[in-house]
Order: sequence, then structure tokens, then C-alpha cells
Amino acid sequence: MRKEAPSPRRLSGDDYDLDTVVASYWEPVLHWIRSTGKVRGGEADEVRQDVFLRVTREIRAGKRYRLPIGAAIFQITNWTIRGYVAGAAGRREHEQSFGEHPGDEPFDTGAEAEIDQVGQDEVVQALFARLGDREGTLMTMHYLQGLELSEVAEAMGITANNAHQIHHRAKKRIHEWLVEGDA
Amino acid sequence: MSDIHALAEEFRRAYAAGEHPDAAAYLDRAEDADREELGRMMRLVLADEPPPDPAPETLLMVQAMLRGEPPLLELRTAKGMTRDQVVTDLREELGLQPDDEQRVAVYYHELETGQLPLAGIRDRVFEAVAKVMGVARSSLLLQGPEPGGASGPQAVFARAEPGAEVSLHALAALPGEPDEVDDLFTGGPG
Repeated sequence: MRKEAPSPRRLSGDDYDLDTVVASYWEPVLHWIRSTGKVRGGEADEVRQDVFLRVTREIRAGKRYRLPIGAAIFQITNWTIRGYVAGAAGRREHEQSFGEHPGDEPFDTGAEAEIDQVGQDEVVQALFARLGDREGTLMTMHYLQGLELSEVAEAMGITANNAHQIHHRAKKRIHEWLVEGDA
Repeated sequence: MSDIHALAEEFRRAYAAGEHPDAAAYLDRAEDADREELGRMMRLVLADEPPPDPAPETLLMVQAMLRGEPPLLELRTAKGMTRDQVVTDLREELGLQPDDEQRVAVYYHELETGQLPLAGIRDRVFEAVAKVMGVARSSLLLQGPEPGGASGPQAVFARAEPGAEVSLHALAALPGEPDEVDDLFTGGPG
């Protein structure tokens, strides 16, 4: 049995069920990590743990993601993988004796700084700008200015149906960039 | 339709049906040259499809984690399983000998209380724990130490059930060179 994807346009610790967000994406995030082929075995679980430590901390702090929650979590996952792989490369330079616990310092500081940008307006604005005029304008008005799609449609002089089509197409393109690790 | 399109579609159907498809296993089924593209196609599936309903066990573990409690301990308690029972089942599932049970118990305690770095744990252990606990491997919530070591052993002991205290240094005190048991719990990844 499946349920509707959680897709709040505004997310904070006050108006979203943190338990549901984490539980719903707990498994998909592991699939996402393992689909990259960049980390093995328990490394994937370690990356997943860090993704949700961050998501939990941010939601509890009242952070408002500008992307739908699934896209935001997968974006954080991409950045976390990138940081983890970079950190692992550094670790491999130091030989570990058998039985020593690997992964004590899984993230390089440079990647952490990059990860810190998730959800920041300038990152999202860059994504929306990359969409082009119509899609970018619609997404900006919808997600950054908080207008309903019907209001955006009226402002842009298009039908509500057309607005939904543009919205869907824009989300698909952003998903593709996320999937490519190109966002 | 090429092979990777068929694999991606198979992944989509399994994911949508809540069958917990392992993305890494799908990558293994593709030619080396096609793996990156297959991975991209599977991520498209994950981005497009609504997430499946989490299993009740997953929600239970997540809620424990968010309260700062050990998720695996919460799951075991909810299932009414004793630690000794789980350790025996785990030891058998891993194909280890009865003589190994004490050391498995120590490692299991570290696993249950979030002291064992996840990257060092072999896939076989994840799979065995998932099977013993009756959950899918991908929805199992094992916690490792947080970066910066926020959760120390004393804090873990304070949350553990009475009688669960196992010396964290018991392994070091045991005789012999590192062997298969050590490799299973610390020799990963993979």
C-alpha cells in the first residue's frame, strides 16, 4: 500500500511531522546512495545517518526548505556522498590496521562547508534561474514568494492547467539534475 | 528496450510494490559500462515515485532515534526478544561457532547501543541482523557514533536495559589475534 508523497511547499519543525519525514525517506535514501556505486556496505548506512542527522537538526531548528522535501533530502544526500567520498579518499592515504574502526572522520571540512549551503536561497535561485524564463519565474513565485499555483498562473497570464504543466516539467528537470548529481 | 531499461523498470515495479529492491544488486547485474547510466535511471525512479509507506518497525526505530534512544534496542524490546536470544540467532545466522557467542554478544551490544562505526560492519552482519529482527535490510536502522562523538559509553549504558552492561573493553581483554568475528564487525566496508 502506498500513500501520497509528502510534498509540503513550506516545511518547518512546527508544521511537519519529523517522524514521518525521516521514516518515509529512510529507505529511499539508502537506495539512492547505493545506486551511485560510490560507497559500499556500511558506508552507505553511515552516509544515510549523516543525511538524517542534518535533516533532523535543520527541521528542529525551524529551517524552511525551498524545495519539496524529497528533493531537498536527495540533494543533501548528493552533497553528503560527495563529502564522504572525498573524506574516504583522504583516509585511504593513511593505512589502517586490521580491526581499527574506519569512518571516524568521514567528512572533509571543505565538503561540510558546501553541504551547509543546502536550502539557502542563492542555491535555489541558481537552480530556478537555470530553468529559464517561464519555468524559473513560475518556480520562483511559487516556492520563494509563496504564491499558490493559481495565483502564479494569473500573474503570468496563463491557465491554471498550463501552470501545473510548467510546474511539473520544472520539477522533473530539477529531479534530473539531482539524479545526475549536477545540482 | 535495452537491458538497463528493463532493469530500471524492474526496479521501479519492485520499489513501488514495497519490495525493498537493492540498488547495488541491480548495478551488479549490469555491464560495467552501463552501471552509471542504470544508477541515474534508478535515481530518477526514486525522485519520481512517492516514497513507500514505512514499515511499522522503521517508524518505531526512527521515533526512538529522534528521542535519543538506541533504535535497535527499541526494536528488540518491542518484539519481546531477549538479547541472549538475538545474539544466539545472530551467531547462527552468521555461521559462527558456539564458542564465538561471547564475542558476538560484545559486538552486538556495541551495535545496539550505537558504538560501532557502521562503515566497518560487513554486509553479512547487516543482512543477518535484519533477518533476525524480521525487517528489510534497507529499512534497518543501525546507529553508529555521531561525528564528533556526541554519545559516550556512559550515556549509552544509562539508556540500556538493566543487566545489559557489557564491558566495552572486553574484546581487548580477550586472548588471540583478530579473527572472523572481528572482521565481520570491523573489517568492512563490503
